[in-house]
Formats: sequence, C-alpha cells, structure tokens
Amino acid sequence: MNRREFVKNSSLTAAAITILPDNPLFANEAVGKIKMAIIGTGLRGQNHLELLLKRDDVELVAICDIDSIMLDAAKEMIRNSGKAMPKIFTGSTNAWKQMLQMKGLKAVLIATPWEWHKPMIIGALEAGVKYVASEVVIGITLQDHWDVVRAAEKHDAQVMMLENVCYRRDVMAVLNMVRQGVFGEILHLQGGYQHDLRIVKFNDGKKPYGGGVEFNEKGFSEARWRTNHSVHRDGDLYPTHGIGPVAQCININRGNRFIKINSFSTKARSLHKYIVDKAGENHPNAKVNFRLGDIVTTTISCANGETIILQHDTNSPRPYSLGFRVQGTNGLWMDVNNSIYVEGKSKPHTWDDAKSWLDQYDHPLWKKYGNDAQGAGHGGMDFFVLHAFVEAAKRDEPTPLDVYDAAAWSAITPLSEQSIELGNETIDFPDFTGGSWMSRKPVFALNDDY
Amino acid sequence: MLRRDIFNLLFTTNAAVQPNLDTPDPVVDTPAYLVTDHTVYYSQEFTNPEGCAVLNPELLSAFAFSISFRTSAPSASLTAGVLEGPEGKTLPVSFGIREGYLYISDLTHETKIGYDKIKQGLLIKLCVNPQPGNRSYAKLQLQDQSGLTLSVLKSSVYCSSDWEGAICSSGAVTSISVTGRRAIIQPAPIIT
Repeated sequence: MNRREFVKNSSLTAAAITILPDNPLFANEAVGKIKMAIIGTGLRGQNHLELLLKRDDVELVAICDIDSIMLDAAKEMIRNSGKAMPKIFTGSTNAWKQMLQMKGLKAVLIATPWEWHKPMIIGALEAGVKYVASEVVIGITLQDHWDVVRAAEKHDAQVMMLENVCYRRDVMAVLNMVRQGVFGEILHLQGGYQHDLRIVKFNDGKKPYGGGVEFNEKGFSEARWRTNHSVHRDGDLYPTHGIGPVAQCININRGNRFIKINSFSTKARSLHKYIVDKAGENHPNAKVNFRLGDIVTTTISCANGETIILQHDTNSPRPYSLGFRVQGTNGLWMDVNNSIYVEGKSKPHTWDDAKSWLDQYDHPLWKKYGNDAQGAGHGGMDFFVLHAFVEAAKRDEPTPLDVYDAAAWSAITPLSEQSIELGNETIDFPDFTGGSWMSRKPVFALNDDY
Repeated sequence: MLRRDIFNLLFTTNAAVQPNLDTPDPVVDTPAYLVTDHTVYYSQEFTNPEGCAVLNPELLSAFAFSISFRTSAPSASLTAGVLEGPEGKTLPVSFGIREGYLYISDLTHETKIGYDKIKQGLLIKLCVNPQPGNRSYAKLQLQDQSGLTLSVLKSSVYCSSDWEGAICSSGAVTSISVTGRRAIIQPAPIIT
C-alpha cells in the first residue's frame, strides 16, 4: 500500500465511523482480547500497566525493561493482580528487539525515555505489530517524525501517541462546546506545559522526586535522562499536552493544519538557582550550564486563520497549569481562572464560573465512563486514552489519535528549537499528511464510544 | 472619526511627529497576505521543468504565495516575471543557491551551506507577502529534506507586480511548485 492509499483508507474508514454512529458494532465495547506487550516499566509504564491489568480484553504477554528496580515493581503489580506473569525481557538495551520477535503480538505500548520512542516505534512496525502506542513524544529531530510517519504508512499500521490531556474532563466539555458553536467561530487558542519539574529533574538518586540535586547517572527515574535535555536543548521540549487538546478544537490535520511557527525563550536561570539553593555553589552540578530557557513561548498560525500560543515552563516555582484558552467570536474559556464568558449568555464583561457550563456540556464519553475512570492516573485521563487505543486495536480500526496527529504535535519541539536557533525566525510547519489534511474528517471523540 | 484624523488633531502642532500620509494606515489596510476570506488554496507543480513555466498572472501577487523548487546541486536558481512583455520589467527576480550560498537578486546569505546537506537534497522556498500599495516583501528559505528551515533571507524591495509572468529554471532543478491563495470566483448573477 502506498502513502496516498494509506492516507485515503485511513480517512475513509474514519469517515465510515463518523457517519455510522448507530452501527451495532460500535454500540458497546467490542468483544475479544488482544495480545499486548509493554516496553518500559518505569513509573509511567507502571501507570499503564495498572490500568491494563484491570482490563479483561487485554492479555499482557510480555514486558521489557533494563532497570531491575522498575521491573521488580512491575512484576509485583502483576502478581498482586492475579493475572498470569508475562514473559520478561531484560538484560540489555536490545532486549526489546527480542521481545518484538514474539508471535501474535497485536499491540505494543512504549513508555521509555524520549530518545527511544522513534526506534522502538519503527522496530515494532517492522516486526509486524499493527498497533503501537507511544508515550509523548515520538522523536527528537524533525526527520525522526517523518521516519515514523513513513513507517506507519509503509506497514499500514496505527501509531497512537498517548496524549492523555485530550481526554481531560473540562477539555472534552469545552471541545463539546466548540463543536456545538457556543464560542462561535474559533479564533485563538492557548495551552502549554507549565509544571514545576525541578523535583523531577533533580533527586537524590534513590527516590524519584526531590531530596537532592543529582541527575544523569547519579539521578533516579526521569532525572536519569530527562534533565539532560535541559542541558543541551532550548525549545518547547514538551508541547503535546498543550497542543493536543487545542488542535482538536480546530480540526488540525482534518480540514486545517499548522502553517508557521516561531519560538522565543527567556534566559536560563532557575535550574542553576535550584542547585545552588539546595546544595550550595560548590556542588559539581552548580557548574552545569543549562541551555533550556526557563520559559519558552511558541506561536503557531493555522491554515484556517487561527493562532495558537504555547508555553513551556518547567524550571521555575509555580503551581501546575496547562494554561488553556479557547476563544471564538462569541466568547472564551480560560482554565487558569476556571471561567467562561459567552456573549448574550454571560453578564456583560463578567466571567461566569465555568462549572455550570462544563457540567452542562459534559462530554458523552465522560458521562458513560466517568465511573470506570475514577482512580486512574492524571484525574482519569489515562483510562480514556488507553481505552481508546485498546478499543481501536480490538476492532481493527484507526486509532482516534493517529500518526499524523502524533507527528504534528510532537514536531513542535524540533521546530521551536530551530526557530530559536535562527534568532526566533518564523519557519514553515511541514505537512505530514501530504495535502490530505484538506479532505480528512474529524474522528476524535465524536460519540460515547471511545 | 478615523484613527488617522484623531492622530492629526493631537499632533498638528508638532511637525516632527506628523505622520506620513502617503503611508497606508496599518489599522485600516489589512495586508493582503493576511487575507483569507473568500479565497481558496491553489497549487501548481511542475516536475522535471525545462525552460520556463508560464503561470497565470491572476494567481499571483494579489494574495500571499510561495514558489519553491528542489535541487541537490550547489548552484540552481529560478527567475520570476521574465515574460512580462516588451514594456515590462527589465530586471527579473532571480533567487536560489549559488555556490552553496542562498541568494535573492543582489542579496546573498552570509552562511555557506555544507555540501553534505546539499547532496541530500534541498527545498528552496520563496514566500511573497503582498502589502498595501503594490509593495511586497519576500522571504527566501532553505529547507532540508525533512522540511526543517536551515536559513532565511529576507528582502523588502519588490513590488507585487514584479512576480507576475513566468518562472524559468536554471541549473539542476528537479521540481517547481507554486502555492498560494486566489479569490473564489463567484458565478455571474443570473439577470432575468
């Protein structure tokens, strides 16, 4: 199957789902069971493992990790669940390749450090796996993203980036409002990743969060690999939580697309300050020059005339906020102050508390699965994103977040780095769909199915 | 009252800050490159171009457009607007890569592109953004195979009409594409 046919088939199948919401096939969860494996059983992989162990429609046949502490924790979770112990692959950084040789693997979930995502996704596709779920992001360089897209097309397989924030309850309610025209024609959107990660980027090498200023080989968990990106890179290193939800509001890759992008970064101060404050200026890490600006602001323009602002803010002290704003010709939602304003409905020039609006427009998926999602990671979002992946795999259908979404959202990182490298130049955003964005139809969360 | 009138009322006593009335008011005049209403995308592609490709002048210059070509040679270029006619312009706009340097007319980028990148294939893309008053500015970008912009060269000396006419290739140009917007052509009203 060539690229054009792949894109066309994906669109047609998706369109068929769109126009046949009452098809009995989709009325309930599909029956059947899929054989699945996990590469990476660190803390994030364990989140997914916990949810998969609760599902009767997933047979976990293998897990893989090189870290014995994390692997032992995963095995303990499996034992406690009463499920059969899957085959364990470990011992070398190539163990995942051996795992992918297993017969009958329908789906693979990847939750490893960022730089491993691309080779593992492509490795899984080349091994014949038809459903690959990857934690964000899907590559480091822009070429990585093209490689993943081309591989998915070549093997006629689904690659879904597990962008869980697309399923946040308020985000989905706002998407519902957008689709019902409450805000009018959408003009501008904002989002970001504004999360003080200093205790994630540094720890004592024994436990995952804080307690020291170590990273790289002396660190533990994410500090062992994530912090190094802050040393060597300057750009929006984690764009997908912000861009995914707003991209759904304006049908990116499905009638719309990103056209241009630029980024600006502040000076880098806060990580150095954290090290000095916690361990003194004589600590060896106080000599590290961090390249990542403390706050990176990215602007994107879209084919249909919308603008987007993303902010990446992970180094300085602040409460968590993704900073969403969805604004149209009739009004807007802002998550920071949890407020909505709709002209003609709200008191003029006065914010409404968003709660009543969000309750009124609660998405059908949350109405149906809200109870199932309780207790799942990140306020229930993890349940939905994994549910969507598993249901699509069971039905041999396209995943609702596909490889083009993954590439467009994740590629913001290398593009923002390049913009900053060129002196904040506005640069072109590549079209991973090869022009088919003009004919592809929206498929994400159109009903209460998955 | 227009913004310009208010401005004049406020500052008539100070000649030093008098606005230049020949300059279009940025508040009143929306730059054509930002206009998307009542327009649609168009795209033309010429593979293995030889000589000149004649373009429909109506497609160019009214709205934003881009002309791009692919090459894997250290020197390759396009010239635009050369077939305007005997009374037309005498200096066609030439742009491309010359001995590894990105250039547009007399403007040359200061950074040389490495041969290894050229060998892998480059996209040279000229984006033209028309402004009010027949002015336009041009932005020439060099992109690698993945679409990553490697360098940018800007020029603001052109008129929108400079681009109308044809595009001629020179050197190892493997394909030319022209994309942009054009006005939606409304069917003529039926008069009964």
